[in-house]
Amino acid sequence: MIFLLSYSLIIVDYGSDMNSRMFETLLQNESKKMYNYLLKMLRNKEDAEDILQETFIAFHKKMDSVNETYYKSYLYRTAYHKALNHIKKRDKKNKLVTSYDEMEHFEEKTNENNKDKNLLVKNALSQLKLEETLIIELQFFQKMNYKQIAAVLETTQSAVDSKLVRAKKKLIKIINEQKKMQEDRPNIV
Amino acid sequence: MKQDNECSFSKKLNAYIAGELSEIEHEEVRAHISSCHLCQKEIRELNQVENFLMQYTDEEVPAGLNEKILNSVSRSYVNPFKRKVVSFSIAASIIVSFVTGILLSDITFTQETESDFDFGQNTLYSYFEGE
Repeated sequence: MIFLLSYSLIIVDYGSDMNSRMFETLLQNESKKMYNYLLKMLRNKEDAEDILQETFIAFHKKMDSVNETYYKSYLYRTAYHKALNHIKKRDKKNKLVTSYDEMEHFEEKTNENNKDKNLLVKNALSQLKLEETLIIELQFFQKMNYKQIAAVLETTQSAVDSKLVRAKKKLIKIINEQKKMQEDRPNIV
Repeated sequence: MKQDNECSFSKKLNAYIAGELSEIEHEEVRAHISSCHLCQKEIRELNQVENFLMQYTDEEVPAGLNEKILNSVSRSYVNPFKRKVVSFSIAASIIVSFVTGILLSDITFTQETESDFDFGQNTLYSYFEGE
């Protein structure tokens, strides 16, 4: 009996240590990328911080039931859905918040001119649908291949290709509009 | 209906850039691009998107945020594996106690039943005798 209990305690400690270490490593490796993804999607630092926390906590709760190979896919899917819900709630709760955010960005845009290239990218991505932002994020910033992206979006690889093409075509249009705007008003981004 | 400014290879260009085509398909598209102005234009546009996005430099995670996450996780989280092992230990302890209980009671029962049985038999005999 004593042997059984000590054995169980050793296993308990070993299991929780392994999980804690794995979680810590994942947090260190992915939090920056994830935070930046949420920034691009939510366009608000506080919201990005909140959703980042919620995502990692939710992931930690489910960590044991997720295959290690799919940790990253699971994280991005969780973040996407949480951000999506957050945006819906935010817009529903107070439409003024959205308009305020947009105003804030416009202010930043006009004040910082060409200095903040991140803002240009964020503004362009904000004109895409949220799923399109995610797919662009996964391919360009996370360097995922079609198979990995399909796992995150729970779809087929050919659907990933079509969605990417659509998102990029929109982006080309947005980039050209931005360029035109810069040419027309050289003092503004 | 296909338009004049659209090439049949157009659909494969994104996968071509992403390196998602098979070796044969990749070579086929590569050979085609060299002679197709429409595809060359589209490739330039796709590269333009990539260059545009490459401008973005990752911002730092706010100081202390990772630690905050680790703290809230260690406070609220009960490891399911730990839960399973603890449940297993409890179940094992109950089984061991139960088996030990049965063994001990069996010994006592054996000792006690001898006299009980005798009593039972005697009572039965006396009942029949009385009858």
